[in-house]
Amino acid sequence: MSEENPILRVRDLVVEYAVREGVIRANDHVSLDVAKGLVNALVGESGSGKTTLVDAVMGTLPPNGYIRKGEIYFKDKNILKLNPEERRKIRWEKIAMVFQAAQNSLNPVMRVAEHFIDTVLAHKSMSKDEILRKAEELLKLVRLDPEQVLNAFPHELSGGMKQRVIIALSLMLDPELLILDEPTSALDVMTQHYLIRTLKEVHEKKGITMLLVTHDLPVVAEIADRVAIMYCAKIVEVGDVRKIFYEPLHPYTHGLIHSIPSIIGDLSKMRPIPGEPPSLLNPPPGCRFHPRCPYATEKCKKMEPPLVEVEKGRLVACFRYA
Amino acid sequence: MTPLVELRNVSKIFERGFIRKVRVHAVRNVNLTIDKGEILAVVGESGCGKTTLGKLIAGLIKPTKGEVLWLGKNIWRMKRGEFKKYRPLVQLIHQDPYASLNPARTVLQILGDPIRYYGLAKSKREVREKVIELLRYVGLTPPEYFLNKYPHHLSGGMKQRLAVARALIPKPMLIVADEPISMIDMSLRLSLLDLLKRLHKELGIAFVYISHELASTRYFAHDGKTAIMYLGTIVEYGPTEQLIKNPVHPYLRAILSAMPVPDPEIARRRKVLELKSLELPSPIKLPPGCPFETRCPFSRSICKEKMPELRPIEEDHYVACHIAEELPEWRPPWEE
Repeated sequence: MSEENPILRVRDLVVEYAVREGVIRANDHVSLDVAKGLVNALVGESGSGKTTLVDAVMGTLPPNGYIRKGEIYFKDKNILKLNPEERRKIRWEKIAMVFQAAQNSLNPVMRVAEHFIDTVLAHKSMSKDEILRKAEELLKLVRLDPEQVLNAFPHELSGGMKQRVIIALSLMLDPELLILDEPTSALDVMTQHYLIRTLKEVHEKKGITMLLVTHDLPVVAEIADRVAIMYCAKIVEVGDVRKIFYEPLHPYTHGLIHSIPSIIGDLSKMRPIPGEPPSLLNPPPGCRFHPRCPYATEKCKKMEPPLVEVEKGRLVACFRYA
Repeated sequence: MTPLVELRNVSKIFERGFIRKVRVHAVRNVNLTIDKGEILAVVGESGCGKTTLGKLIAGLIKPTKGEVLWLGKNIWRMKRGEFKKYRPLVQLIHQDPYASLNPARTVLQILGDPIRYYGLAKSKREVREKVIELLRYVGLTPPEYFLNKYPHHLSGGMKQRLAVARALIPKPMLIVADEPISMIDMSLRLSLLDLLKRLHKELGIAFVYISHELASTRYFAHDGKTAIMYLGTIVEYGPTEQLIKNPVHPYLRAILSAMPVPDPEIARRRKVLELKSLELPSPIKLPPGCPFETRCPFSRSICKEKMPELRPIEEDHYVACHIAEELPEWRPPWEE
């Protein structure tokens, strides 16, 4: 996302996992800019490598995963070169993360207020009163009633309410970047709608940069400014949200947008992408989308298309454009 | 014509607890019919009773009250021999293809066993031929490649196709598909729905499609009917496209207006119908009046007192709302 002032820059990142069957390369020379002050979305299907990318940024790769190559800059610092203590400080104070199914990450035997106190005290010295005052303010921002929520145990709250508590919690240390991994999956339509609205309000009031990692394109259409599409360990297209939805360049992006069922629009224009996403253990040679692509040529079967900027802020990895 | 399945005043109450019993009203007084070769979609949020309704329709659980009829016969009063003939005619496709297939059996075994069980093949070779034919029909090609694979070798989409192949073996007249696409990749969802549509068209199989959202419902049940469920009751019922074009019940209007759409301009300009409350009443302590009253922005005093009945509002279109005729005219929130 080549914005003037990216807050996070991933450069030529290669992440691999050692598994019984061999080596899985889950991020294959990935470069990505996260534009400051905007809502950025990283879109991909399961197994595309989007969660691996986030794990690499957060330093939360599983034990069999490792970074083979590449740099990750937060502002001007290569965070891969920091020592563990410096890394930990950046991790929660500068970059906060809301994990998938985060509603289950609250401790069932702790009241909500204690979660706020514990989280802050792990990083800063602040009085309990100060912490609670700030917690109240943030709970109001996510449209919860602080009095009711702070004294409650997690099981006394609904799924949507817990999701809001986690978002308030993630904002306690005033992070500059908030990463949300599939925040809307497993929520009902109304709950999902109010959560998106809350995220929009948080973004507007706090001006915080967001990185939304998701497979849910309708949610992206609703909230994102910039979008990056990932397919089989690679970024295949980057652009502004309207460009991505109205003028997709990469055949995969195009196929994806036309394969989403919707309550509006012409049913006869919705059609599936043929075939299956390839396995990361054994990716096809050349462009990884070529076995499913209606425009594939001999060249696509042999050579990998590089991700190139075709107009300002618009990148695509496809031989049709470069 | 006798309907394939008919539910008459069906309720299902689950009892929980040992010392103090808690009664959960999962399905309340539902009437519906499914004709041969028809598609019925059941849509509602989690906890509305849609899965329980699916199990009642499939004859997997016994209703607490009311009758479930298969071709006019109460399935819970059938003689053993009759029930045995009925049972395989209704098949299920579950939400989670990872859990519904035996991980220790190969594809050939998963499909071959029921083929043998139903006596559809005599020799090993014949079983193999039938399995290959099935795999080809559900799009797992080349079939020979899949025969000796285990479920863990397959992607979520392939597993779901395998589950579909297995469901086809006893030549069912009805398939109950409970959120069949919610756990598979987005680029594969439409093609799975296309496969199910093909079974409907080519084999004349009737479908009950259970879902928590309206977009895939519209795609799959376009020519069929949809029932909207809320807290165990059907609040609106009619032809799918009509429900989406001309929703009446405030609950249906709310979820339609809040459905995310894959269009940035429309997604940002549409107006969502605001609810009074976000929280769903508990199915243990149900409100005495309309179940949606606690959240409905249009509610009046009558809504608190009396439970509305499902009644026709135009041909084929039923709504359970006291004030259906007095609601403001529906304007699609995505239109300018």
